[in-house]
Amino acid sequence: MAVTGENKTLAVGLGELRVAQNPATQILAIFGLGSCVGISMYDPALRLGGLAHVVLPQAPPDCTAAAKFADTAVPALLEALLRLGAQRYRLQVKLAGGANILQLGGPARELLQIGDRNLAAVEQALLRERLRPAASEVGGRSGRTMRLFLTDGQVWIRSLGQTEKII
Amino acid sequence: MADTTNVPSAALEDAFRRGLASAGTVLSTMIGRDITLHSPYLGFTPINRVPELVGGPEAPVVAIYVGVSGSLVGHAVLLFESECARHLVRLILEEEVPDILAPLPQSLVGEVGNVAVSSFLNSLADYTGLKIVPSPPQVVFDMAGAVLSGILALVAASSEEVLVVEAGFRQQQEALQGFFLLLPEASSLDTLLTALHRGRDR
Repeated sequence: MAVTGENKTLAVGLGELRVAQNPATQILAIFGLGSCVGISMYDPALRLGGLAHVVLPQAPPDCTAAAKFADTAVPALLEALLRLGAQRYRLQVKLAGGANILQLGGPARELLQIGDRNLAAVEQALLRERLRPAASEVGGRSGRTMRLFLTDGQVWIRSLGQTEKII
Repeated sequence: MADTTNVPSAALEDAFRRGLASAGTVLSTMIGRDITLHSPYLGFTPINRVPELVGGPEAPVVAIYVGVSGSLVGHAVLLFESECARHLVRLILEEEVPDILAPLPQSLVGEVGNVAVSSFLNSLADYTGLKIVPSPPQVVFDMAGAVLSGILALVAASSEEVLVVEAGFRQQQEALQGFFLLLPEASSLDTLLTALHRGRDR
């Protein structure tokens, strides 16, 4: 995957994954995270980072959309960064999202609390890669916007009606 | 994934027009003013485009969510941008509300949404002959993307596209933009489309 973009902010949509480097790009962002989990990985030496916008915990066997699922998004994001020269030991991993905003109905009971299940799956996948989140802003009942500043690796978290947090 | 290339669009439009008309009638009675609903857009949309369709993933919205079970399994959501929700409350109360999130305005919006969604679902059940069982409504205020992500996750597990009905509310000259999403789970999409065919031929 090539380093993309000269824009200041690149948005990462539902089920997408993007990597970018400063100074070509300033910010990678996921807007309006709910039960989805945003995974940020950043190599400060290269000012190179990536975000994955994970929607579901587990990929089906014939999956072609790696970034959509926790268990495939983590290795995909890691690989994309390593290929561009990132070093695993330097990577700063940060997480946001995994909220439970609605109690979803219907017979899909096993999918209740999908935010929690997404988080657990992301943490497991990170563990398999011997990575540990340095910081996270997860769970609860509020949506979040997550911005990774490629200049310094700070992750800014915004919820409605609250002051922005830096992790 | 269900085959959406062969969607009986006339039947879909017919069913949804009736649903919106019925929701409008009930709302007019409830509010005591003439409210009409119209649908500028109806169709299938890729899941990752849905947040854009309802004003962007970060747009603050008041959302009314109703889970659907029975022979049709899915999710119904009505979204108003917070300014529109405020306007809706102003129409009903005939006074300004400073805080749309105060208990009264919020329950009012929830009730309006619930009535609209329920009458829409009733009309759809009549048209299709499907048994549609709505859950109690939930009202939340948050970013549009955040509200939808859990629902989209459930639908995305087995499908890449969702059925979206955009709904505009109108009271005389004043237009109110809202979005109504009916998201059948993939297992129910064929059921719905088949029933719509039957409904049209009936």
